[in-house]
Amino acid sequence: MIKNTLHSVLACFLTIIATQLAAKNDLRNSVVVVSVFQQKVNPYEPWTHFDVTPSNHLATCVGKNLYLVASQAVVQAKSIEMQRIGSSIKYPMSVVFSDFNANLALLKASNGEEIESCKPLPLGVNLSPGSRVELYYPLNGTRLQSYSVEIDQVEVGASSISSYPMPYYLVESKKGQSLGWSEPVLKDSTLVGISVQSQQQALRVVPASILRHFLKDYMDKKPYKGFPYLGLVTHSLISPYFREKLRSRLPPDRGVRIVEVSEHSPFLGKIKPDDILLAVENKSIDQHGYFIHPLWGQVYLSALVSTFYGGTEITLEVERLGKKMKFSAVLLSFDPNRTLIPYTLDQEGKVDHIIFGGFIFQELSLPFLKVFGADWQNKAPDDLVYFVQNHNQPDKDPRRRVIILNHVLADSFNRGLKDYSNLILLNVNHQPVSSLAQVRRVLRENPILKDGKKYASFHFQYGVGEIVLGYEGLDSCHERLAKNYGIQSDETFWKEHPP
Amino acid sequence: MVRTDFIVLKNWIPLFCFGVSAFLNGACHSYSKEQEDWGEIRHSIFRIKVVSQNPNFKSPWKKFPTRQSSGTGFYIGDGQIMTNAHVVSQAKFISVQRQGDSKPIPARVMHIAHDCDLALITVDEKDYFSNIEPLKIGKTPRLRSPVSAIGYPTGGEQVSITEGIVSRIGFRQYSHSGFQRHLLLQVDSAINPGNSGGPVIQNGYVIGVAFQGHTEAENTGYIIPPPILNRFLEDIADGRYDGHPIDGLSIQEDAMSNSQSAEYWGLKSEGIGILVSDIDPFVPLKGKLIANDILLKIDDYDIGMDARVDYEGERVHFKAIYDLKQIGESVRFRVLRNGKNHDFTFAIDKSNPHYDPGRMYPLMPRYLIYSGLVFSVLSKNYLENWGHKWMQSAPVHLRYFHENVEFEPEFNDRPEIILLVNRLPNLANAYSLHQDHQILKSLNGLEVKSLEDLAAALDHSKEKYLTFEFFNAVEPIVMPRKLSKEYHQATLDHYKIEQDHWFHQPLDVDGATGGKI
Repeated sequence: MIKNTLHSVLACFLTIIATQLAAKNDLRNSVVVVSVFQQKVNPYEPWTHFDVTPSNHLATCVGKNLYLVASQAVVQAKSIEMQRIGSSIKYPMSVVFSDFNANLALLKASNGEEIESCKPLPLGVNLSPGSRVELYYPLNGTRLQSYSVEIDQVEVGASSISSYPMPYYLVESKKGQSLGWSEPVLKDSTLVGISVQSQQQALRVVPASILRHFLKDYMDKKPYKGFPYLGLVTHSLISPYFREKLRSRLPPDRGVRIVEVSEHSPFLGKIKPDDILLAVENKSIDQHGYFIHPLWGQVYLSALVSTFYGGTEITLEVERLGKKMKFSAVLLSFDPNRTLIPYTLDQEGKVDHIIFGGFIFQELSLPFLKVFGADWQNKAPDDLVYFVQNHNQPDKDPRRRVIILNHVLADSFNRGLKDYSNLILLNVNHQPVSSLAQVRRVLRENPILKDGKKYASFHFQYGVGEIVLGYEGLDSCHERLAKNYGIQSDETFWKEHPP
Repeated sequence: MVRTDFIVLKNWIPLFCFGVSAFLNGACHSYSKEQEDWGEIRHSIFRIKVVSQNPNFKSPWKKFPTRQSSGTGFYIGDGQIMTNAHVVSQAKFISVQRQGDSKPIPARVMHIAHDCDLALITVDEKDYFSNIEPLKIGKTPRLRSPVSAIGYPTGGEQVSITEGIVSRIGFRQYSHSGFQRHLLLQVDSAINPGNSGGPVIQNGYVIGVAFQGHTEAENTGYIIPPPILNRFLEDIADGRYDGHPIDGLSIQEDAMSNSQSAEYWGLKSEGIGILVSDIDPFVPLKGKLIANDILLKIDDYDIGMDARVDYEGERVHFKAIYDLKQIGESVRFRVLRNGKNHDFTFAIDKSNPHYDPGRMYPLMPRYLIYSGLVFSVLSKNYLENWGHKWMQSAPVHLRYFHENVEFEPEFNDRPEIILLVNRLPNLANAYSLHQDHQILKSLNGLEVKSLEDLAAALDHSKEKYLTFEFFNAVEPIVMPRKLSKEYHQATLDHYKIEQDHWFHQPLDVDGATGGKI
């Protein structure tokens, strides 16, 4: 009997190994290696780029010749090559679609070629913390390896590429292995996640529901609807005194306080500050802004919002001075750059800028501040950081931006003025400006005329005041700057008569 | 053992020390030790020993443990010993002793000027100064001329004399206040602890007071020159120290060297002229000078495009001229405004109450405690709770307001920035969790611009709840008024706090109380 038992155990063990091996062999038709060559623009000198950075990722076949990777892996990519594991044939790829909010992008062969044996992996379902999954990663580029790991928890947070708060699984990273490069996460041979970021000992994995949301939206023949937002800023409502003051009749664990309704919120004019948000589409919200997910337990309400689509009408329930009320509105798609200070650059990474007499003007953006390093909140100029942290609300006009003087390229034309940098620009030629297009236009159409000559006046914040440059000699200055500083881009220098 | 304390500010160390190494340049100016009567001079030099105790800006009802330190001072007559403010700041006990004296004698501060790091102390013992020859203040020494510093550096009990060369005259920040700029002289010298406050002598005259060194440059020390010394003595002649005037001018240095800019503003003088870009709202020059004025002259000094004037043979910042003025004196400016030259004479008044970005030395910080919530005011001292690198580690909003409050219109009529600096937990304030270091805006919708305002608003409130609102959309603190009142005294008793408020201004009650009755 012992002998029989031993035989059974051995057979079981061998079956598991064989199944895994078979699975990995099958996966070679569904999971490929992509080599990405990114060359990111240098926001400090926006006509230049940083060095080309190669990186290797996995990509997962999710449709006919369609491969799924993390957006951040392919943003500003100059070249993408795909290789099946174990094969030496390379296919040039290009990004056909990217959603920074989901941090997901789709690749296809650049020449439209149908890649043989691209076998889409079926999408799985969401899993609860404690579930065991298989994370696959490439070993030496020649084969796939996996390790079994438990989902530790679900967290909601923004990525490096978008401020949109999304749910992520957190799983333990494998020691000694570089991960967070779009590795597929499987359970029962179905795709239940894509890993997108490594943070300390853990990996962030985009769960199946987000993958499904993204792919369904893309594969629909209609315009992409995207991930929506409520446009509400909330604070935990833990103080019983505050509840009393708001005349709430509800238990202390029900409802989060609304502090602000953003200018672009679909609920603007309906919901008010100090309303207590009780439910979103009948899902109850607690005093911290969490709701109970059937699988994930207590999760921040952004995870609920991410299940809707832009264009969906939803209903919120609030309590206002003791009375319950319901409001409905059609959700809009979230744009991470729909703030005064853009969160990210676009897929191409272009940074619009103007050089006028050596003065480099561009939009203040988070990528610009990150030039000061990972600790930019403490290294970048305090006035810019403070502005980002406290005055970054979206304006009614979505094109409204904060324009800054980045720094000055020294030339005899700007003698005496070369030391100015990181200044917020208020006015040009005595006209307020809130976009580079305005700056260009005002410089062209409204120069200051004095004694028969034209001048450009730039008024900066924080006591710097008004700095004046002439127009005379501007073209020669630009020629010298182009030559001395190796600036090749024709679009960089301001021109009185643009082509 | 004397333990010296070092306050580090960027490249500057305000040390209780200054010393001079080798004589570097005897070729340019003939000088010999025999010219100085060191025997006489030595008898006018004092070793000053101090026991000090700093206030606690985070828990403002408390103080830090006492410390001991020492410095040097010298007799200038009329029972006055001159030294640095930083030698005696926050002093609770001061003693002075000369070489050869059998014992130290208790002393007290007569006048202290934190903005220019000078102080006068005295001894109340009768006839103490009767046989002491006062040292006289001389003129600003020439560059490359040799000088001698005399004092009591640590490592010995005797007076020490060391020599060096004046290498530069400048207009730079004094470390003690960490903000104000004044004239100073740079000398090539090594630095020895204990010399702070000591005289620097040339031809028998005091031509400076040793006061700070340079952390990143060897053999570099700084001395307070005669114009600052004389200005200080003249200021206190009426018995009260008014302080250096604040110009509050933001300028565009070198901008007028750009020919097209200069042409635009109508500037025709070659090499002369500095553009005023902004004027702080609280200074007396506001409304008299305006943005885009081009300053051509201050008093009789032409102002270069580099903002410098020729002062005693050297180029120094034009603000040094204004800085030397007394409150009540007048200043003349030649100004190019709207293409025309104007000659203005302005009386120099005191500035209106405003946020002072310099370090303060009060007996206690201003504060108010209400039902366990501790409110105080933003200051450089408070920011230094985050260490020497507070400029990177303190909260961004505090750093921002410290540097830029004059550009925030909402704060123009707020003489101080009120913060919640601490919370002593009780049932009434138990739910105030996220407001540490936040700036108080209003109470129950009423703007609070000073601690006195806050106290009055709390006293007069009749509403059921007290709602403390903060800037930058920080969550308000809501407390039941009656419950808060009930817990107020109990909280003070529980944390052994004797006073629930201190409203004296820092300049009105200085922390150097040693020896005062």
